[in-house]
Amino acid sequence: MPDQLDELLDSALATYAEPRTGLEQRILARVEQARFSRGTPWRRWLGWGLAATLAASLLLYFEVSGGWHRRMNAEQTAPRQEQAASPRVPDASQESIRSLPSRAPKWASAPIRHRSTWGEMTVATTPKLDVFPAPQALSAQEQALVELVAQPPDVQRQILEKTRQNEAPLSIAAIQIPPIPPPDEGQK
Amino acid sequence: MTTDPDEEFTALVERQSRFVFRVAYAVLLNAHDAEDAVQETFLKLFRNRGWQQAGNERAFLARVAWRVAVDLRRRFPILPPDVAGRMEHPKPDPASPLPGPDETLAASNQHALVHTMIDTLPEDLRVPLVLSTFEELNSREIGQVLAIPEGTVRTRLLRARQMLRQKIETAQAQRQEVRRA
Repeated sequence: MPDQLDELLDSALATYAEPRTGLEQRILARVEQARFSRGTPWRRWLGWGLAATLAASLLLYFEVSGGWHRRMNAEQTAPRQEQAASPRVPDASQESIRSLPSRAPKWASAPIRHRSTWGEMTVATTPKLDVFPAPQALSAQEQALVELVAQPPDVQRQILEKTRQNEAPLSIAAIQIPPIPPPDEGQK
Repeated sequence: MTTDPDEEFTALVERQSRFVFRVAYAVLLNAHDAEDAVQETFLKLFRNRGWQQAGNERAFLARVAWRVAVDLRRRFPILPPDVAGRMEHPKPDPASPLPGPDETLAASNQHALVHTMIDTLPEDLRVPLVLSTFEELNSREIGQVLAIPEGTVRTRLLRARQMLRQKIETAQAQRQEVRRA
């Protein structure tokens, strides 16, 4: 009985796990497929190459476009910054002070926001001024007062006297018109 | 003697594919998964050409196939043998009186019965049994494949055969009882 069991066991083990027919062909076909895909690496790298080229092109475009935008913004803000950064100091020798704008615009000192091409918000601020608010141009009366103060005291006195004389009411002497002598009747 | 690598590989596939399939099947207990493991095994062999430097080709192939099958089973856990079933052979019912005594004793049914019993063995007993039976691997080579000592292989082979004998005797006793009833 044990011998029969061993024979049965051995014969059963001999037929254990029989694969379906055509296993070798399926294996070789799978290997051939893998070798084909492996033998043409350019197909795999072609996609990556195209993607890399596209990415580089986009990067270059955004870089150039962003630089252009930055230059435009810089050109727009530069005059404002110059105006705000170099306020005119009152000086008697300056004659063109009246040509300055009477009041600096509000946007001259405000931060200028612009959106860059990369989507992030950048803030371009004007340089910090030494005197705030920015000095304004003097009026004609103020300019005259500055000029007066700048003179020596005796000259000031003379100017004031002269001004006083100029502002004093005019005294007009009575007009004396001599009568016109009548025409000589006897001569008629 | 072939010198073309492709011809050598083709010859290797024709020579050892069934062996590799049985190793994978002993681990996975499913014909479809075992075939996937076989294809994966030969794909690896094709890529690294490792079998050309191997001293013992069969032991080397068994080692690679066993590793691939174990890795495949980790990724896709197998169903129990009674649920997954065998793909090639119909699962017999030892207690069923329908086939009749003569048909029950037919070789195909007996083999199918033993196959099912092999499937129900623990894996640490089943794989050495499969490797030792028809693959002409000795205990030392099986130990190298499974990374276990040679004595452990012999012990497991002995235990596997004892368990199968007990199962077969139990099944035959049940059939005889059914026949008497």
